[in-house]
Amino acid sequence: MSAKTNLFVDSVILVGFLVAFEPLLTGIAIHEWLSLALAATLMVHLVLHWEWVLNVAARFLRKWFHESRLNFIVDTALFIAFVLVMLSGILISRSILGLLGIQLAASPAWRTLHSLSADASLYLTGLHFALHWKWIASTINRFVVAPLGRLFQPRPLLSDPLAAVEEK
Amino acid sequence: MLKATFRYLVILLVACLAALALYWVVENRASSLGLNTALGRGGGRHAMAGAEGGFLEQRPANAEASLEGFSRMEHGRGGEVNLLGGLSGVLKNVTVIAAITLIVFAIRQAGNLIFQRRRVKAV
Ligand code: HEM
Ligand code: HEM
Repeated sequence: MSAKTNLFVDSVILVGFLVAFEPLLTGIAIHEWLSLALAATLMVHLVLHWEWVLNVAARFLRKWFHESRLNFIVDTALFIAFVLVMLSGILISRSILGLLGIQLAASPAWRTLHSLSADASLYLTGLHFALHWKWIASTINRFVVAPLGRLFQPRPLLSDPLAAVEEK
Repeated sequence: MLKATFRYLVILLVACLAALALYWVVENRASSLGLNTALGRGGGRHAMAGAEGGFLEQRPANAEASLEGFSRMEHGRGGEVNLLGGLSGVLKNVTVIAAITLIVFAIRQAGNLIFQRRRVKAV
């Protein structure tokens, strides 16, 4: 998959996550629906990195001190944190479950867990982001900064006949 | 297309299995994990003003003591929005991510420096 697509999906996840993290910003109903939509985007993110996941999972037990191992651990922890935040969110949901007419008698601990797993996912996302910083910086540079820079570079006016003659 | 669909299904399956395992652990072992099963942690970090309090209907009769946080949630209806509070929260979270990135960057630079020195010494 192209780096441009990855950059786009990663940006959507990051913004979606930051907004999902602040229910105060959106209200509970939007928080619930947006977070569910985020789960779909995260799945796209994982499918885009499918080969990586399989390769590293296979190599995991063979090569010990390798950076991809750290990435794999962080990614797995992030996956579990997201599953937990989604699960606990659904179990304490008011808007979505209310709409579906479902009433759950789940343990009150889920509310605490929603808050804790949301915090964990923030720190793990920070770590995940930091471990991919080089890729992020170079891709933003390639697809955003460089094209913008080119816009402001002085270019010879091709329509200026005098300049064309002088060039010859 | 078929391959991608299969991959989505595998991710969903793994997520569902993880969710089931987590659900089982919390429903059966919450108290031994030290989780507060009395009634959550009150209003939570953000104390959602105006949340509808679905938990109030489910609360056990002996849970009055841990309700102080919920009293804040009982005002208004359906999760009011606080744009300024929300935006400052987003800013705080961006700062957390930036700080972690800086720390990891610093650790990496320090590691590079130490290992480079060692390599130079070895030569
Ligand atoms: C459930 C949560 C997530 C999981 C399981 C996950 C998993 C992965 C995996 C397996 C990779 C490729 C392997 C690697 O180098 O680590 C990856 C790459 C990446 N992820 Fe995530 N990720 C998650 C959330 C996020 C979020 C929230 C962001 C946004 C900040 C993000 C940004 C990136 C970036 C920038 C890359 C590398 C660049 C690329 O090739 O797209 N990820 N992620
Ligand atoms: C990326 C996924 C999610 C993140 C990062 C997230 C994060 C948060 C945070 C930080 C809070 C405030 C907790 C507090 O005040 O202590 C919250 C509250 C809440 N979330 Fe989520 N959440 C996510 C997904 C969901 C989902 C999928 C649902 C439901 C379908 C949901 C339902 C709720 C509800 C009902 C509350 C209010 C609980 C209360 O009154 O304290 N969340 N969420």
